[in-house]
Amino acid sequence: MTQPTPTDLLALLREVFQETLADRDLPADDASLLGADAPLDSMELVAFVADVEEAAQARYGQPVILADERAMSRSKSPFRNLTSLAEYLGELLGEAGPA
Amino acid sequence: MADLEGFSGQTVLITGASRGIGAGLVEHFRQRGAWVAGCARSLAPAEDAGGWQAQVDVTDEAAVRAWIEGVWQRRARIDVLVNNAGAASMNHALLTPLSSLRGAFELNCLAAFAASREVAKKMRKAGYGRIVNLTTVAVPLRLAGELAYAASKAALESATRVLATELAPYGITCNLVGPSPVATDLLRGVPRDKLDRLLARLPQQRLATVAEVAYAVELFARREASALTGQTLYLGGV
Repeated sequence: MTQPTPTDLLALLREVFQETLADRDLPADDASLLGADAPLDSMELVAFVADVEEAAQARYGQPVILADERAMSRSKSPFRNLTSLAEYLGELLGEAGPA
Repeated sequence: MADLEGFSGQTVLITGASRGIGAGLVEHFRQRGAWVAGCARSLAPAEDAGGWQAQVDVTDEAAVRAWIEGVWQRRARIDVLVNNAGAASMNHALLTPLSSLRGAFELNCLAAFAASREVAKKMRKAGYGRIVNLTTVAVPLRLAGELAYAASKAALESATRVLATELAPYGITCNLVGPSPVATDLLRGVPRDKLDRLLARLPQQRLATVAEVAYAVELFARREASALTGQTLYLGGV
């Protein structure tokens, strides 16, 4: 399996967002997912992240845990928007290597 | 046909399944119609129509995830997780190295949390799940010589109660069973006079049986136990 491109991963995130939160408008790739004006409350964000983990494993055959120590200790959260989350997911899948 | 045994078709996961309470739990749930996945460090891999046993070190997070994925691939459902794997280490506090505490927390608390987190990701999709964690009467009795064991299980108790709150919206209940001393390998290293002094502190001054522990676990694992969550059930009258 070849490594997914950032475009592939963004497409996956958009797909999961629309499945998990069917009643919401899809946010722009760089729109904030966190904070007071975010489109998701904390429980919705938890569900979204868990669904992304599951979808990534189903599509790329690699188990990933997005909420790991590195993600939590970064000065800029990988969960701040879809673009940053796609980048972080790409990092994790790249480290795991091809399935 | 009515499901008189209560677990027909369900998938039940049990850690620390190679002996003692864990082995008894595997048998208990298989007899009640469940498909049971058991794991332990020393378990020879085997599989039949009634379940799957795998060799897994529960302190290895990646191995636990792989085990749970293996169950998911076979069954596509997880109804019950029993975090039974655990170990006691006896020592006076003044002679207890930090490594003993770290080891106890790794096995008795962190491993149970990791397994719970991973199964909860699966259970939430079904809007249903039962997580039962094994604790010990050493926590409420504040047993001398069991600092590492009691402290690590106390942490597990606290974590389980918070889990119960966080997972309630997904229909997942989280509870604890705290056996009084049971005649298993865990007790083998406990001097007889110390065990007698401990039993003298219990309303029921005798060892519990594996079957009695299994009954308490089953109580929380049953579908009907939907309003029981965040609870701790100690045996022996504690």
